[in-house]
Order: sequence, then structure tokens, then C-alpha cells
Amino acid sequence: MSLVVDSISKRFGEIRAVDNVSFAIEPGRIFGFLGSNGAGKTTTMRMILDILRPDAGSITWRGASNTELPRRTWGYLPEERGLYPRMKVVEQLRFFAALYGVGRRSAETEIRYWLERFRIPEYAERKVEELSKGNQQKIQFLAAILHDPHVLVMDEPFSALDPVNTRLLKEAFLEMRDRGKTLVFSTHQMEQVEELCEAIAIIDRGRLLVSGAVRDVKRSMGRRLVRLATESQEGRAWLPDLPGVSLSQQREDYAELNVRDGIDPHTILHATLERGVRVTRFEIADPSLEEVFVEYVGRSAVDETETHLARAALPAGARSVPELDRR
Amino acid sequence: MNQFLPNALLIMDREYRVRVNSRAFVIGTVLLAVLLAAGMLAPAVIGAIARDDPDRVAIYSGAQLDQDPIQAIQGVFLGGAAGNVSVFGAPEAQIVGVDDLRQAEAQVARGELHGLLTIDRRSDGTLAFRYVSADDATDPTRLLIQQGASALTIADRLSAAGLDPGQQAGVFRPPSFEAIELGGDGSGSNIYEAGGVGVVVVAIGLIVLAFVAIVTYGSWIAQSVAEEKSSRVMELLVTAATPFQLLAGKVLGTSLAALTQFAVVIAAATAGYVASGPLVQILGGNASPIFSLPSLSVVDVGLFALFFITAFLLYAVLFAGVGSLVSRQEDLQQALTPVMWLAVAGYGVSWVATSSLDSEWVRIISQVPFFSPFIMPIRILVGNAAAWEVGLSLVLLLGGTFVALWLAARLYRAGVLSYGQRPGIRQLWHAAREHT
Repeated sequence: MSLVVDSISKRFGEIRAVDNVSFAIEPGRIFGFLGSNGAGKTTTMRMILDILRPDAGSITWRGASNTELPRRTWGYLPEERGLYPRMKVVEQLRFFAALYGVGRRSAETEIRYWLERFRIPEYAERKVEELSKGNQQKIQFLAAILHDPHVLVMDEPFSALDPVNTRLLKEAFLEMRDRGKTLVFSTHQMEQVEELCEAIAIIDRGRLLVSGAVRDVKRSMGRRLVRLATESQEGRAWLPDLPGVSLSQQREDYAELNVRDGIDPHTILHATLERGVRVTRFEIADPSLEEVFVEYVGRSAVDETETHLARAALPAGARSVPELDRR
Repeated sequence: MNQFLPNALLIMDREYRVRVNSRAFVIGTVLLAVLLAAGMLAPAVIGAIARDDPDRVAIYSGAQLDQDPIQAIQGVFLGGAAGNVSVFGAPEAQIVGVDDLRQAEAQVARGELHGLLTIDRRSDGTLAFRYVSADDATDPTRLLIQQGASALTIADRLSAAGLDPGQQAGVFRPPSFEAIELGGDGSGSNIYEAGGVGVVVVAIGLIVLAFVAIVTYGSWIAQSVAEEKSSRVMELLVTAATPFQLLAGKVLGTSLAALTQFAVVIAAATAGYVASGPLVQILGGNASPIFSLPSLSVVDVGLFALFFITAFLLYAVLFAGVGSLVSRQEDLQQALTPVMWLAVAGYGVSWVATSSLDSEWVRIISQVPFFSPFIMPIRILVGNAAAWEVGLSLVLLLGGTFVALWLAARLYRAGVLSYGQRPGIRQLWHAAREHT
């Protein structure tokens, strides 16, 4: 009943691009695929689309092998934008719609609808190369959805988009989801994932580190966060002495504490109040995806400069405790 | 493979329209058409211009002769075409007599006269000729003048010996000479002897046409594939269509564009050829056209077309396959080199073969798919190919094309997404087998 990726592997020469990766995606949901550059996201997506064949393992959608499904099952937004630079926007979209077997008239209606929605109807007769990067990106998205695919596979759809276009694209994602489509997208921008995704997978150096519902992944960290602000800063120094509590961040405005599973976060509140300190803010939260990612991968998704250090310091695939910022 | 046609046709349609609407295509086609038409008309025009103003050669005769030297030498020039000088090189000259030697010499010096021939009789009674001109020793005009001088001398000696002009005509009557050519069953081993200028023109035309078409339009295809790869449209295309559809659509679309260009250019050339006849008459030149086409049967023309199209497809799919292997436009030329050399080899070999069409190696090589399209049509043209040879060659060529198509479709699949790395033969083979 879903998109199932079952122990797929792919190697290019000596490089294991994807190494025994498995996960499942529920239909009608938005799924985030997280990893640094070169983690194997694009290769995995190409295998889902049957552009590449895995060396081992299988991929099925609603029980049918992806090698046997019709091509129009899938919509694809490649990471490297690919359109004919000198072809007009409408002609281009008509061409791709026709390749997927969409009738002329319904293609025409859909094209008009979406150009309107993306606020670019006046670009219909322009050549693609004359459009800005952001607008090309929107055309690329349209080329992926005009044939009404069941599953939309998108590689870094938000890269190089300004805030307005990001908003438009997010709304389009939600509309596709509401139409019952399944959306898979890769990114290293956690913000979009927090906002849109119901489930995620984190992949690093070809290996799957974790996958599942966002909430479950966050819970798998074995800790929750408490953000506590008091009227005087002196009133917080003793907090890390509480059992199962450690200081994560000491900020000017509040303290962020890690609370191990099994410890009731409310004990912090009680202890504070018992000491007669006045509390101005008390908040219980799951760790952010950024933190989850850092903890699993050992480095930030965006921080590529530290990649080599992190690789050298950590055994492959090991879970690690991040260096937390202590003041 | 299901629903092969709609997508292949869509891709073909796009390819054709993009190509035909491109500025390079329009300009190239018009330029080629104009050039070829002009080339067909040029000989008639040049002939007419040259005829308007034949060289003038003056004769100053200080000797008493039985025969009019002006008429005699003019006669040599008129009959020259049949003589020692080749058809194309026959010079035309107007022979005029002069009385003022000094003035004539000055005119030659100023270039107003082509040359001046002075005839004197020495004290011993023999004739002495002196020819002043800018001609060198191999100049046909000078050779003809010299020939005329010998004729005059001989006639003069015969007169001195007492033979009257009527008897002399008997002496100079051409001999009865019959030449029998061996191995003459109408076929030739050599295009230059097989049937005149027309056969040579058609044979060379076939070779050059095939070569130019393969190299030019083949490069178009490779370039177009490489463009799709470098603009990354390819990634989208392979999810929307099968590699085979992409390959077929691309090759067919470009071939149609090539055919369009060919049709326009050949129509222009034909129009020029047809128009050159009347033009020659209008301009008052030689009434016969520059060359006459050999008579060809419909079967021959059909076979030429079949060889041409099949060969074109054979090379086209190879070009497409190679184009799919490069990731950057800059690498394209380098990657195409092996296929280019194959075409150049076919072209070069066919030139050598034109002068020894019945030798063993030509028979063998005209069965080899990459070479046969260059050589077999010429053998058909001169009529030295047996039917079974033509048939076998065609079957082998078709077979080779299918093998190339099979291979290219697999290369395509393996090549289109291999960005960055330059795949080695083994990796390609592996990738090709992966997607059967």
C-alpha cells in the first residue's frame, strides 16, 4: 500500500553510492529525504524512478515493481534543472505533457491554471533561457506534475528559490498532497522539512541512518528539550545538577535543557518554583530536525566544511553525541 | 516498448522543427542552393564570356606561299578539338593577317595581340617561323601554332617537290584506323573510361554526397544529443520516454531535416542544370550542355537511394550513441573522431576504388557495411556488380545498421546519465547489459 524501498544497493566502481537502504513511504503524504551532498539521495531517487537499476534490492509502489509501472506513475524534478533553453515555456510544457500521453486540451487547461497560480502567465510565450532561476524552477516543477503522476520525486526543489517562490512551491506541494499524491523530496534545509513532512529518512554516505514519522525520529533521540526563562539568570546555575538533565544552551533570554527519557520535564518546573525563582517561560519540545540530523550524521547538513573532520573523527555509521555549545 | 510510436514521433517532430527553424539551417540551405545552382550555370556563362573575346594571333608573311597561311592556321585551331589537345583545353584564337610588322610587334608587347607569327623564306628556300608571345612551352595556343607551322612547311615542301594541292589532299587524308577495346562488355573497371564525363560526375557526386551528408548531419545528431545531456534535459527525457524512443526520434527528426535541406539543394542544382542548356543558347555559346547525364534505370536510382538512406542511418545511430557518452560539448569532437575516421576511410577508399573497380579487394570491401555505401553504388553505376553482390552487400548493410541501432540504444541508456566520469568500454558493456 505504499512506496517500499527494500534493501537497495548501488555502486559506481569502487564507490558504494547506496548501501543496503530500506524505507517505506505512506501514500498521500509528504516525505523528506535528508542527507549531505553526496550522501546518495540522488542515486536513490534515480533508482526509484528506474533511471538507474539497483545492484541489489527492489522498489515497489502499491505492490508493483517500479520496473513494470507505467512511466506516468512518476513525476520527477531533477536536481540539475533540465529544460530546453531555447524552447518557449508553453511549447516545452506541451511537449513533456504529450510525452507522458496527456491529451492536448487537458494539458492546455492545466498549463494555464498553474502558470496563473505561480503568477507567471505572461511568461508563457517566452523562451526558458530568458526566465530567472526561480521562474525556471517553477516551470521545471510544472513539467513534473502536468501528467498527474501518483508519486512526485523531487531533488532539492527549494534550492535557489526566494522566500516568495518558496511559499508558492510549498502551497503547490500541499495542494498535490490534498489531491492524494505522494511527495518525496530531498533537501538539506530542515526548515522546509519541519513544516511539510510527515515522515523522513536520513541517509549518509550511502547508508540509511534512520527513517520514520518525524515525531518518532525525534523521540528516538531519547531526550526532550525544556526551554526555561527566569527573572534572574543566577537562578539557573543549579539546573544541570538535577538527575537526567543537562544544559544544552545557556542563552541570554533562556536556558535550553536536555531531559533524558523517563524523566518528567515538569520536575524542572517544580524544582525551580520550590527554590522561589520566578519562571517567565517554560516550554517542552522535541529536538529540532537540525539537531536530530547533526546527532545522527555527526555534522550539520549545510556545514560542508567540517565534513572531513567529522569523517575522520567518527567510525562510519556511528551514532555520536554532538559537541554542544557550552558557555 | 509499448506505445513506441507516439513518443518517438513527438521527439522526431520536436527535433525536426527546432532544426529547420534554426537560423543556421535556413542560412546554410539557402547558401548551398545558391552555390550549387550557380555552379551548374557557371560553365555556360564562362563559356559565353570566353567566346565573345577569342585571342587574336597575327600573322605577318614575308614569304610567297601556295597556301593562305591565315586560313591554314585558323584551320588547325578549328580542328584542334579533334587533335592532340584535350577537349577542355582547346584554345580558341582568331587569326588575322598584318602588313605592318613594327606596329604588330608593339601590339603584342602591349598585350593587344595574343601573339605574332612571322613567316620568312630563307635564301636556301626553306621557311623560317618566328612566334612572339607570352606563351610558355606547354601553352596550347603555341602548340597549335607550331602544329600549323609544320603543316605549312610540309605543304610548301610538297609543292616544291611538284605535288599540286589536289595531290596533297590525298597525302593528308586520314588513315583508316580501327581500334578494338578488349574486355568491352559495356561495363568498366574505371569510372573515367566507363562512359564519359557524365559517369564521372555522377560517381563523384554519389561519393561526395554520401560523405558530406554522413559527416554533416551525423554531427548534428551527436551535437543535439550532447546538448540535451549538458542542459540536463536528458534526465527528464529518460523518465518520460525510453532510450530507444529517444534515439529513434532524434535520428529520424534530424534525418528529415537533412532530407529537407537535401531536397532544396538538389532541386536548385537540377534547376541550374536544366537552365544551363537554354542559357548557353541565349548567350550564344556552345549549344551542348556542359555534360550529359548517363541514362540511369529506375532500379539503379532506387538502389542508390536505398544504400544512401541505410548508410546514413547506420552512421547516424553511431553518432547519436557517441554523443550520449560525452558530458560536455567541448569533449564532443574528440569523442566523434573514431566515427569520423570510419567515414573518412570509406570516402578515401572509394576514391582509390574508382580506378580499379573490378579488383579483388574492391569486391571484398564493397561488402563491408561501413564502406559498401560508398563503393557499391559506383559499381552499380558502371555496371560491374553482379546482382548477388548488390543483394548481399545491401543485406549486410541493413544487418549492420540493426546491430548499430541495438548497440546505440544501449550505449544511450548507459551514457545519458553518466555525467562527469568518462566511461570505459568495460563499464559501458556492463551498463549496456544491465538494461536488456
